[in-house]
Amino acid sequence: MNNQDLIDKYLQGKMSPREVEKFKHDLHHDRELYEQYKFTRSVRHEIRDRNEKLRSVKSWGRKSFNSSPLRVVYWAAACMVLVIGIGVSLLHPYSSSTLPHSDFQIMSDKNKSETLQLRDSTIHQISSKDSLLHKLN
Amino acid sequence: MIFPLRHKFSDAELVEGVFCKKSTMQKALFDHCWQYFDAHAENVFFASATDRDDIFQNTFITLWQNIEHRKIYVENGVVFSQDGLPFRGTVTSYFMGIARLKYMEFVRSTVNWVALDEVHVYSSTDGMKHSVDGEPITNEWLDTENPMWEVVAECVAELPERCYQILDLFYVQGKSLDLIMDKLTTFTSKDALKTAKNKCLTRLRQSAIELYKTRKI
Repeated sequence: MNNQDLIDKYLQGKMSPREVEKFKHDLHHDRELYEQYKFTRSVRHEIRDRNEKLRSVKSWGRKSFNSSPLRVVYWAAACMVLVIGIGVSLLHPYSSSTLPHSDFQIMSDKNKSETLQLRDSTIHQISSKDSLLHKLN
Repeated sequence: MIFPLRHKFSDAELVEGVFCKKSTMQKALFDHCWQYFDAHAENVFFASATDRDDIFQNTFITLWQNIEHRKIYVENGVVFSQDGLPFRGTVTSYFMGIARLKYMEFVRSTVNWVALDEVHVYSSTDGMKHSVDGEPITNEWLDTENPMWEVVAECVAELPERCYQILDLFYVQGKSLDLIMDKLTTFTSKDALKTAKNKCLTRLRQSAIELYKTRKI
């Protein structure tokens, strides 16, 4: 069993009390073992520390990276414009003045000309009847 | 100003708050740095949005660690740097300084990382293990005053994904090699996994020593 195996076994709490005692004794007398042990512990500490920090950064970042305050404002403004637009269109549905070339406009123009034609023909018929009556009299 | 009602903390308040492990101040420092980074990063760091996010994350964690290890600290309401001199710039400019270094590392894409086959630690006649250049491996990290933690932290941050996973599962989560093998299905044998773990650790140690030497120079 090499130094790293011993260190791993100790750090994972898999040593018997007797082995622990021997390991601690060796740590005090074997400089290389002590150095390696301290390094392994520092790596463990740094990974743990980094994991914790990454967790925090990611939880804060999820909001910040995806939606910075400025982007929120832009989106809010866009939504407001959309809502106002829909509201206005619902309040004034298909007004002929706002939609000058709509089908309704064409239809109303067509009706107007037909009405005028009808009026003219009626007047013409009345006037022709009047003239006939006048002749008969 | 976007949110005029939001309280803006001074640099000294932020640094002191983070040092005292106040989560609200940690978040406030994060927001402070993020807003600055978000506004400037696009023109400074030519990388994809995802890579910029990674640079930001690594930079912020380094800043956080630097505060916790008193590389920058507050005394009488003034922010000081490690050399004991008052801070000339702001925390955000310090942050961007770290970010630039992270970006350079990203661009180089060759981290101070010793390739597997370059590791030749051997026992010499004096019975001590020696590094690749023949010098004895120093015990720098035994000295608590020595900033060896910094290089270990940096090397851990640059660990390849697979190495990080193995070391995290084994040393932090305390998983056995059998359980790790179930999780990381690429390993065909327990011995292969154990060898990979030890190689990762050796490489990490070697890289930390190399980085520490360059820093000292």
